[in-house]
Formats: sequence, C-alpha cells, structure tokens
Amino acid sequence: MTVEDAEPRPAPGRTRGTLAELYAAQYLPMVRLGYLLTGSTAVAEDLVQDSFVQLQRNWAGVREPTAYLRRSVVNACNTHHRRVGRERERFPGLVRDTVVAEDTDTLDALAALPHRQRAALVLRYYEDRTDAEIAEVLGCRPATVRSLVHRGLATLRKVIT
Amino acid sequence: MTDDRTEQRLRRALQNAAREVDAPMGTLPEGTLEPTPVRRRPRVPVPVALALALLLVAGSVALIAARDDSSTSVSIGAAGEPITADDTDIQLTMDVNATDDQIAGVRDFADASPEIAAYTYLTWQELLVEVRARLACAPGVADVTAQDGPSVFRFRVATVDDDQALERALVALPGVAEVTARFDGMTSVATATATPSGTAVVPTMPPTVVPGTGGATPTTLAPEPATTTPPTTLPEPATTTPPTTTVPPQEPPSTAPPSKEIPFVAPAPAQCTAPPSSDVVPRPMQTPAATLPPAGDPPADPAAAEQAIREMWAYTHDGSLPLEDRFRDHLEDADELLPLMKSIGQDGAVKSANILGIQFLSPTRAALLSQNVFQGGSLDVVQLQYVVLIDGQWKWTRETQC
Repeated sequence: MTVEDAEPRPAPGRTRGTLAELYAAQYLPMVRLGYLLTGSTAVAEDLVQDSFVQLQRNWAGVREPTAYLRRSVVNACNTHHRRVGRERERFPGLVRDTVVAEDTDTLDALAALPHRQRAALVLRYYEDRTDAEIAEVLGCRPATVRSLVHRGLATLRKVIT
Repeated sequence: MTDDRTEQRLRRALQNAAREVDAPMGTLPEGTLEPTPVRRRPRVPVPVALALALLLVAGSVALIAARDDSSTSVSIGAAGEPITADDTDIQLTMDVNATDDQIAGVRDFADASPEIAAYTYLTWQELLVEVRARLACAPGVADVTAQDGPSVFRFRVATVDDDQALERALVALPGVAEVTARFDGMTSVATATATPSGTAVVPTMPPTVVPGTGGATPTTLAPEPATTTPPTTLPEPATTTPPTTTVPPQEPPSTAPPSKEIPFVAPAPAQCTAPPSSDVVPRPMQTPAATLPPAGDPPADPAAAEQAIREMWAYTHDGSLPLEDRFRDHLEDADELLPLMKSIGQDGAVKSANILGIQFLSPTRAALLSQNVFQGGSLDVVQLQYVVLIDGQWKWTRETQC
C-alpha cells in the first residue's frame, strides 16, 4: 500500500483533496511542527503517522482535514509530553528531549516551557498563525493564546538574554 | 507590530531547527488509506451499557463511594457559582473505598494549594441526583438507580503554569483513583497506579477530622448489600441537600487556610420539552420501562442486520478496549462527539447489560432497548436508543449520545 493508492471514504457534498494528497502536502510540515513541539524527529514522525491514521478513520466526518491534522498533532505532542514527564519521574536521567540545533539556548528554553506555552509560541513564530487560529488548534480562547504567548516570551526573555 | 529581539531570535531558531528536519515521507501503515472495514471482533458477553455513554456526555458518570451522609465540611468564604461538570478544570475521582480521612486529605490539599481557586465535592448520592436531572428528559431512559460508587471532587483552578505538576500531585494523594484534567481543550487522564482498591494507604498529610462527624457515627465504607435495596429504588431527594452548609460548632484553628469549597447545589428539575402526544410534566424516573416504537420497514436481511447491531453494541460496551477504539467507527458524528466523551474522562464500569429488544424502524434505522447495570450493581438504567446504518456500519445515533 502506497500513498498513491489512497482512496479515503468519500464525503458527500464536500470538495476536498484526497487523504493521499494531504499526506503528500502536509507530512513534512507536520513532522517539523511535531519536532519543534517534542524536540525529536523520530517522535514527531511517529506522532504524525498516528495522526494521519486517526484522520483516516474519521475522514468521512472531517470538514477541514488540515486543521484537524494540526490539532491532532499538537494534542499528540501534548500527550507525549505528559507520558515523558511521568517516565522522567520514574526513571530520572533516562528520558530526555533531543533538541539539536543551532540556537540551542533558545530551543532549550522553549523546551522547558509548559507545553501549552510552547505550542502557542511555535504556532505563532514558526507557523505564523493568528491568535484565532492558534486558539482553534489549542481549543481555547484567543485571549488565552495571548496570555500563553506573553508568559512564554517573558520566560524566554529571562533565560536567553 | 514588530518583533523584539527575543521574538526575532525565537522565530529564527524555530525556522533553522525546522529546516534541519527533512524526514522522508514514508508510507502509512498497511491498510491505513483504505476505507475502514466493518469490525467483526469477538464480543465480550454483556459488558458496558449505553446509558454510560449518555452519562459520559452528561459529564456525570463517576458514581460514588459510600460516604457517610453525616460527614460535613466547612464552607467558609467560598464564593462563586457551583462547579458543574461542564466548567470543571479538573475532576478527581476517589477510590470507591476511599476513607473519610482520605477525602479530608484532598480537601486539605485543595484548601492549601494556591493553584486551586475553588472546588466542589459530590458524594455518590449527590452525583446521582445530578445524573438523574440530566437524564430526566433523555429519550428512552426509564430509570436510574444507584447503591454506591466513587465520590468526586471538581476543581476550578486559578492560573496554572504547570498543570501536569498539579495533576501529578492530585493523583498521588491517598485514596485518589483518577484525575482528569481539562485545560484549554486538552484533556489528560492520570490514574493512580499503586493504590489498589481497598488498600489502606498511609496519608501523606496529617489525618484530619472532618468537622461535624465527631466520631459519633462510624463511617460505613462497605456498600449496602444489594438485596436490601430494590434496584429500582432511588435515593430520596433528601440526599440532595448539600451536606456542606452546616457550620460546625467549633471553629477551625486560625492558622488553617479558609475552605475554598463550594457546596454542591442540586440541579433544578429539568423542564422537558413535551413530545407532541404527551403532557408537559417531566417524566418521573420511576416510570415503567421504555418500550420499543412501532416497527417499520426492515432491512433486506433482518437477521444479519440484528446480528451486526448486537456485535456493534457488544463492541462499544467492551470496557477492556479504549473508549476511542470502541466508538470511533460506531458513533454518528464521531469526530465531534468523541472528544466530548473523552473529555469527560470517565468510562464507568458496567457490570452487566442485556438487550431487551431490537426494532427496525426502516432499513437503515433501528431502536434498541437495553437494561444496564453499572458500578458493581449500583446503577441500573433501562434505555431506548437508536442506531443508524452509515456506510455499511451500524452506529449509535447522535441523538442517542446527546
């Protein structure tokens, strides 16, 4: 089975691309988003794969597949952080994020933020999303997004300046 | 608005880091891009009930521990509206055998935690009252009874920078079975791992005597024998009286933080919308069991269709499977309703269930009457629900779940 074979269930009355087209167009952007939220390419790839599988299962009822996918990836990263947090408690030192990049100070500081602040900053400064769009992904109000971004930036300023 | 230096640096770091990721696009797992097949798994005999889904969506599923009605709490200066299932940031479910000391320990933690703004505690009886109110107008629900279950705390948090830490702290408290946190649309469930039900747990906080108990009334932890209460008997409305309004004769020490507890307030009786042919009085819960509607045109192969419905019913009631797996392909508008069900974070535990009858209303729609017993025989629900055939798969209808 390859991507080209994709034939998701049709959505009557809706015009949109196929799942295969979405996969081709959004796989790498979503992996990059997942990487910025988890610090691991391997983890991001797994989470994005899972998100596509979940999207396929709900394909017939999803109105905006890309938005659904983005939210799914962010939620999966959130779940990943929670799981890693618990594993860190049980096996301290064995689990760590693997952020390897040019500006490690900034990314390390970003990785240390609470996941919602991190997600808000990544969606704002990597994906250039508006408050309303970020609120849609995070499932909160735009005012909450502004608060998350403000608090996240405030923490970053203390750490990296 | 222009970026300041930190924002510019962050933006640049993110772009650079993302460019380093060049993951080759692989293929999805085998079969992923094919239409989802109809599941035909072996079914577990008689597990979960459908009312449960109703209860899940209603946000009130957790049924509760046998907590002595005489136990009281202090309500001093706790302000604000009662915390309902819909505006709860964190719901904490106690172990079904949690002791009064353990419940008091959670109260102490909440009162002392700056991250918790307010909370409401519900005994199982109070939660049942709420469930009854929510289900009073639900189609097909003829009766709801309960004999025991876990109690729950509902927390409304103040500003929380690290909700995971708060969630971990709560789930680590003695007597806590599960903590469901819901922040900004993200939901997580933490389950206590090292506290087997009924096991004595050494409290991490000094034992607290709940004001008002005075030790005069021993706390009964064991549920009432099932034989002593007819399964159709509901607790008297008297249990709806908030037990938290009594100010104890002795004031707590001045060093103790003021309680943030908001007493439970029983919901007002539901004003059901009268169906065209019935009166306007809300249907009492003790009405005779619902009956199946008149039959319509059956599908081409009624026996096969009924078998498929029964298999779907059993699969969605299989408590050993994750909720999402059970309902993802068996629920109308699953992408919209499933997150709601998951957000409740409770799946209850159906002890037994029986399909009382299936009636085809059309080739693609059927009514299903079932009787379900939850939580160790504590909750008994007779329900009339509907299923619909979509893309070759029988699914619970939206109206059934809502």
